[in-house]
Amino acid sequence: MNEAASLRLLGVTIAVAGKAVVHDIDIEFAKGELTVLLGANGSGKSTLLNGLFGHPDYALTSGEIVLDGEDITSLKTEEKARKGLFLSMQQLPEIPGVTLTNLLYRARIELFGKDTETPVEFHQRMVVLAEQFELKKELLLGEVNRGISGGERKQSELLQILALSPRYVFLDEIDAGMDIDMQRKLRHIIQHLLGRGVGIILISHHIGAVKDLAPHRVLVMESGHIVERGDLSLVHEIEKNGFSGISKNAYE
Amino acid sequence: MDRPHEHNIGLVEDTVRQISSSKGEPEWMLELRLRAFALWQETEMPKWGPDLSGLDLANISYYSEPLHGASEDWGEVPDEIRDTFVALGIPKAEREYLGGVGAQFDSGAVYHRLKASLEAKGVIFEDMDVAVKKYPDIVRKHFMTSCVRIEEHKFSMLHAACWSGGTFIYVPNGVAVELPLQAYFRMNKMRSAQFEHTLIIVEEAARLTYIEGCSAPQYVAASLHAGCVEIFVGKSAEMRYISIENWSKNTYNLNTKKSIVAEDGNMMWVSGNMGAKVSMLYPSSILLGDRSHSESLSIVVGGDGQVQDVGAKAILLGADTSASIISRSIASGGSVVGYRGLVDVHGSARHALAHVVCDTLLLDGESRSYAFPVTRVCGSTSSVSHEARVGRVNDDALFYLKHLGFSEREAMRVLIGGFLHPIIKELPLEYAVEFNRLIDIEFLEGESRRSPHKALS
Amino acid sequence: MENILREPSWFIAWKKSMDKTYVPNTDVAHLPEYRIEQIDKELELYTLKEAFETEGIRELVEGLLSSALLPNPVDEAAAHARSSISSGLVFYAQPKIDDTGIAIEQHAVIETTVSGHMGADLLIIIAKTGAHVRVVDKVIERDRGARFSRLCVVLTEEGSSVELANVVDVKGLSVDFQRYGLVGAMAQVRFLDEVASSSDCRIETASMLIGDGSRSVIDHALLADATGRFTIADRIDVRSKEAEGNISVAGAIAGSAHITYSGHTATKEGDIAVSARESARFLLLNDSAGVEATPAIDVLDRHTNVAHELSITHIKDEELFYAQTKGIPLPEARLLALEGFFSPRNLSKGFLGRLHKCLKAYE
Repeated sequence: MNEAASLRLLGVTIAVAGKAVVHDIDIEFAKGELTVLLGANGSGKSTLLNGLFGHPDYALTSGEIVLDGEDITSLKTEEKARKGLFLSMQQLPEIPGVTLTNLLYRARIELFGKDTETPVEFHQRMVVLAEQFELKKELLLGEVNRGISGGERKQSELLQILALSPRYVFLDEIDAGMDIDMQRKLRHIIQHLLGRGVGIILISHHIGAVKDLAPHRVLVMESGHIVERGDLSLVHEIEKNGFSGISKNAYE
Repeated sequence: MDRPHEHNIGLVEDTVRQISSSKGEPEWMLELRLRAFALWQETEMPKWGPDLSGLDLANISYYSEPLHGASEDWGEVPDEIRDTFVALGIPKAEREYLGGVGAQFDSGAVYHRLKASLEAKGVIFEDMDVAVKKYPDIVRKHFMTSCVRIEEHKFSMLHAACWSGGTFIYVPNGVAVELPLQAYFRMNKMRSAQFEHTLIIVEEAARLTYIEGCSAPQYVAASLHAGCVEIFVGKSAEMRYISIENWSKNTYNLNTKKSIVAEDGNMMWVSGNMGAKVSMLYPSSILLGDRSHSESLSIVVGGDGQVQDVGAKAILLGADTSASIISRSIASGGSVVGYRGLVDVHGSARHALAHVVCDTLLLDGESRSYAFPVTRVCGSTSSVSHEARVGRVNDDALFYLKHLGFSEREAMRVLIGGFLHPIIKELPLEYAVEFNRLIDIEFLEGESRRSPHKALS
Repeated sequence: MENILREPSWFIAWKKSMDKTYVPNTDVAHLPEYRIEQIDKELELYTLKEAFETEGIRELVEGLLSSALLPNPVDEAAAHARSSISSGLVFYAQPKIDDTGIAIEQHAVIETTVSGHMGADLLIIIAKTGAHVRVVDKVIERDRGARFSRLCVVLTEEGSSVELANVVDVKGLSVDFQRYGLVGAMAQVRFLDEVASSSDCRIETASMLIGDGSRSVIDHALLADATGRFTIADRIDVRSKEAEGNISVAGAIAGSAHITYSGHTATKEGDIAVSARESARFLLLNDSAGVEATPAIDVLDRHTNVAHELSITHIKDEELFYAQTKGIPLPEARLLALEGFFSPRNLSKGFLGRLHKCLKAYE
């Protein structure tokens, strides 16, 4: 794999309240590829993501994160964001009094510096994008994550990704609670992003949806370790036999 | 340039007489001043509220006469004064946007303009000093007679004795003043006291928005601001009073603001309070007429060891009256931010409704927030509710913003902005911009002052 | 003056320190009388006299009353009340463990009958480490126009809990309670009361959350009717980490009665993860009824979350109409609304009966 265009995790260990929960993770994510991370609840998938991004409750106690050859392990959360990493979390907190458009406009200034585009121009551009990907454009003028359903919050996350143009996107169960129509829209967006060279890492429990996405790589986690690596065929296997059928390679 | 003529340091009866005579006031106003002065002398300092011991009443200049008369044209305003206003950032669009501006330099009126069209409709927008002489009947009837009474408290007595300058506005029946009228005040001298008096009368079915913004540069000695605002809202009239108070950090800001609202009248107070060493501000609405309504929206930002003891009062007397008080405060830099309010529903206020919400964000471990909301209700047909919350910024929300690329400081700015948003959105646009800018200065400059290494992060 | 009650000198000195005009009580005929309705056999109970005579207990009582943690009386009336104490009860609870090793709650139900012109007593509850106690005291009036004051002090050691429920159902008896809880680490003190009165009633309650993880609840169900004048002052004083305070008041006011309520949650610097809530609601049943409420908070540390809410309202016509459309006659509908106002608090039969009478009087 071309080291110059990848995001690598080398021996990453994440601890929660002083106790190691995710152990010695080695993964390489390539641009323009979809990696799916599977595993039973409690296997450490979310922990890995939150730990990577420096959530205050999680500590990366050993290992490295290397982005395009640059060690970004000790960068702060916002600095990682500025390097082009995006995390869509499971728990999405409210930001009262701030509209989504406003937040994204300001986030873009943080990420890309001041622009000549006015807030109104930006908003109009976002409306067009929302319509193009069949996302609810009313979310743009609503307060962030406030007064909206879980599904709408996920749509808001997708709008954020479209607005902020990250290079690697981590989606933590973004399809949780999504109906068939929304799943289709998500698939469309994922394919669009992949086509533009964005690396996507998706945690999901929807085996059927994962199959339709045709991931390049599939990783299975159990008890904080990666116990199986494969591709689409691994998904078929899990669909047939569940997770217990594949724990044979645990701790390798 | 000569310094304006200063009258004595400290208040004695002679000073009161001199103030009156130098303004050429009618006898009745002098009598009012002297009566107030006598009361002031016999009354003790208030026993409640923040510590006012740093206020050295004996060593404050109570009046300084400006060297220039009021001018009708911005171009005629002396350079020094003009520069001051430019530095304050009066919006350039003022000429087109505003109906008229009265500005004040120390205790005298300097600059005054009124658009011809409003004059034609009978709207009066005048310096208080001038109004006393030009419209004696109406001023005498309303000036500290039924709204803010002289006897109300020690500082209303002081105010009545040595008030100077201020604004008089009269809006006749049915006239809607579409553009907000505004004025700037500035305390520009060490040890000066500011006692401007604003009297606003909005007659039946009339409408007015008035904006008052204040700022003063930093000085060493404590200065005092004991102004007074009296507003009469007529039947079915609407009044919106907006003030951004950002006095210098050595000022004692003890302003008295009150409004009496007649039947079907509507009063809205929008206040942004920053600055001042100690603030005691409780805009009050007396809902006298049936179906009258008041709203008070206030933002309080405390930093750098300030004490903000502010709140609102609503006295409900008429039937079917309603009041709403919303206060959002931020305390940082070892400040004390307190809400002190009163909702008083009398037995006569049948079917009255009142709601109070006060929320405070405590940004550091050195600041303090308190709330003493008093609610009195008599009678079995009203409903009153009150909620208050004090807490800190949500950690999850902070992380969420960081993961989008916001630095800690920027993330705080976003969250604070969101917290204050419901009130800032009531301000006219350039004031919202200005107020946001003031918050940024207070918050960010304050941050870097307190912990230089943090400012670099 | 003769020391009829044979009180120890330190106690007399303590009373004198409260009120310089103190004179020893010689009216022994009219001391408050106690009747023990029910008490767990392991729960030690002493009268004040017995407490003074029992080694170990008297030192505890002395220690408590002279402790710096015990708040001073708020005013002269309160000070005078303390100086008039001439009887009382002291509960001393050791942990009671059942066969499976679980600590069991020990109960006591007592009645205090007040007669004569004025009675003042002392109620002390001490819970040793791991003990759990629940005491219910009912105040019975015999003579109208009498005045009764009580000083309660509750001390909970680590991991223990005390619930003190005062039940007052009186017409003409004036009542003045000063209740204080000293809460140790991981301990809990709950002050509950149910007060129905047409007379003066003053209740001052303060919990000092001294140990980390301490918790306190203050909960009132109040009915002030006729010319009742209630003054209720609650205070939770947080002095430790991870403490939790909860104040809740539900008061109905009828006739031309009045309730003045003040709640205060104070935290100081260094408190971490403190959670405090104050919730007060009042229902005005009559046009001459009134309330003044000041739920106050004072927060000095940003690691706390403090909130308070207040609601003052009346029985709404829509509520009554709703019940009536279901076939419920108006008087019953009013009573239901009133009971609903107090929920989820379980009210005693006496209190409910009083509510009922109260509504009947104003039909």
